[in-house]
Amino acid sequence: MSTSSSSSKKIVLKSADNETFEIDEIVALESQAIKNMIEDECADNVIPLGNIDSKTLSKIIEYCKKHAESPKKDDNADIDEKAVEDLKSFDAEFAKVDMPLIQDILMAANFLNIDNLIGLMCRTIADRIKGKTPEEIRKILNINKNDLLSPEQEAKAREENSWAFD
Amino acid sequence: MKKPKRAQPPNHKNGFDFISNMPDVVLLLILQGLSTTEEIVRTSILSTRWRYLWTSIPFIDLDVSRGPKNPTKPQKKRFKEFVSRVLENQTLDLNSFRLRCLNYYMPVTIWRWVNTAVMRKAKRIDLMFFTKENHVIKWPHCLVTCDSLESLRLDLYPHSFLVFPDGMSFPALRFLELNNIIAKLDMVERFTKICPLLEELCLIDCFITYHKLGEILSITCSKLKTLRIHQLNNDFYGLGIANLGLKVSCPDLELLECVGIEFKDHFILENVNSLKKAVILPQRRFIRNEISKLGDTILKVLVGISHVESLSLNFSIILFMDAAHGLIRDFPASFPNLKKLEITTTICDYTLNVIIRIIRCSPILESLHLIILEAVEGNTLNYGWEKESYGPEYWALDEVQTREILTRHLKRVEFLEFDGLKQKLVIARWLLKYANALEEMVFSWCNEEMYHEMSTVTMNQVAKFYKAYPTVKLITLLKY
Repeated sequence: MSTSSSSSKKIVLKSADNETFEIDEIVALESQAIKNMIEDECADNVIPLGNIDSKTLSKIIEYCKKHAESPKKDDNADIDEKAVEDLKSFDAEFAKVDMPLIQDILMAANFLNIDNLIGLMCRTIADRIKGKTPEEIRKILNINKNDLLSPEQEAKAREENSWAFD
Repeated sequence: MKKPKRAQPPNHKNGFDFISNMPDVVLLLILQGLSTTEEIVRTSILSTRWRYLWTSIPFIDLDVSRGPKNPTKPQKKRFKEFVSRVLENQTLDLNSFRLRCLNYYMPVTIWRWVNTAVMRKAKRIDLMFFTKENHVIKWPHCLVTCDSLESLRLDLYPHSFLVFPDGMSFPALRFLELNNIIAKLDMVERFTKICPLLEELCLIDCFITYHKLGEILSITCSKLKTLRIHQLNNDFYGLGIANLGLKVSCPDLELLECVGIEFKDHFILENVNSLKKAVILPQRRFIRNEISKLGDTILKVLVGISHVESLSLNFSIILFMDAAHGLIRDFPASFPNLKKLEITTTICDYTLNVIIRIIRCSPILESLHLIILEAVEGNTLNYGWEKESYGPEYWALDEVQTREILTRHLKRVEFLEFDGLKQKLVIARWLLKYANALEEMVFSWCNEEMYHEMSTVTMNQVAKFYKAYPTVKLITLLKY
């Protein structure tokens, strides 16, 4: 599975629940935030991620490993097509998790600045709220009841765009 | 195993509205995954956080047919107000504007919307509408010159007359698709001149007015990579654009699709050296005494495109080739790059000969797809292609050499209009027995009753046949 050699530089990530994960630097570089830290030389050997639990972090590492290993665009076009397909089916499998975990991954990906993963989680959330009523969506996304529109505001919003709510 | 969490663990489990606390860019990404504008706007009532997010989505996709089936006047009015409101409230430049509104509004209303989209620097515009009485539609002023437009798709289904003004220019247009329009031929051709960057041109079910005798469709375009000419709808009394002769001169062209064209003497491909894929599927109607002449034309065309990697042909082409005077002399010496060959045909006494001939000339062929048709409609009387002619005798089942050539690269077989006839099963069994690269065999039924009654029984039968390639996928489906 891994294409990296044992001599490559390692990075250690530490989760909120104090679990450590040793990964190749190339994998860590999938995160723009970690990349910046390494470039600015403000990364110690161990990078603490105090707001990401180990379950979420191991999922994120699984994702970054796969994407770091995939051949990039500039390679041979034939390989490209197959690799793209392979990555697509990996992503599809990867996203088959429950909503709380998707939200954890999304928040962590946002924190670590991993663009592709943010996109994947957002598409997954979109797919799950597609075709649902506002009430159902509020439930799925756990939207705070204190932020709801007042009945008057909601009636006005529905009236303004009545076609969409018919 | 549970360890105590520290810092600020995400605790949505306790009713924390985590999504609404994400930055706008993330919420907008979620909204963009919702594809229709109606659905995106519906999120405006989720909570105060979501109230106006929809105004920052850079695309609009509105379709009146997603609403009630036969909308009342007030409903049509509501859609009209909605389109205007959505366009007015957009805060960003538009990537794309897609609108489908049937015949509910006057062109002047639609062009006003298009004008707003153009002001918002829309890169892609996709319009589908028509007028009630097949009125003439004038191309709008807002679209005479448009610097930002990269892609334009116009569908006047079922068909409307379209008049273009002078002085059009689209310096950035790369993609143009015209569907169901009736226009003057030189107007259509003019697009290749006024769009210097045009890479893809699709003319789907278009018709020509004021046709002069002998006039042909001539496409000369230096950057064009894809050309599609499809004529599947012949319901209009006029002349279909695919009923004209054709001349193509496009040095960068990679994909050429001519589907439902009426094959004419004038089918000239000049300067198509970059062509990788050709799909040439002429309509099935033709005049009998022209067949051999057309055969000579198609042989020349094949020689001209013999460098392609992928080729799709149909029964008409095979019929022309068989009847060509110059079949021996002018047949392409080789298809040196051909990897994929797809043939949609009925099998009668000469089809296999022609197919074998093409295969013999294709040294690096990797995959052959055979889509097998019933006897060709409309020609049954003239040619005696009765249902019986689907018979196994035309497959030269026992000739070892033929069998080997045919089955060596056979990857996919589909039986169209399948009805469980014994003769077809004989062929299916034979192909399964010898085709040792066959990946998929599809039985497409067109009769629903038959499908429900016989499909399972037939598939049980087929499952018992000997298979040269044991993991071949056997598929049965209903396809009209």
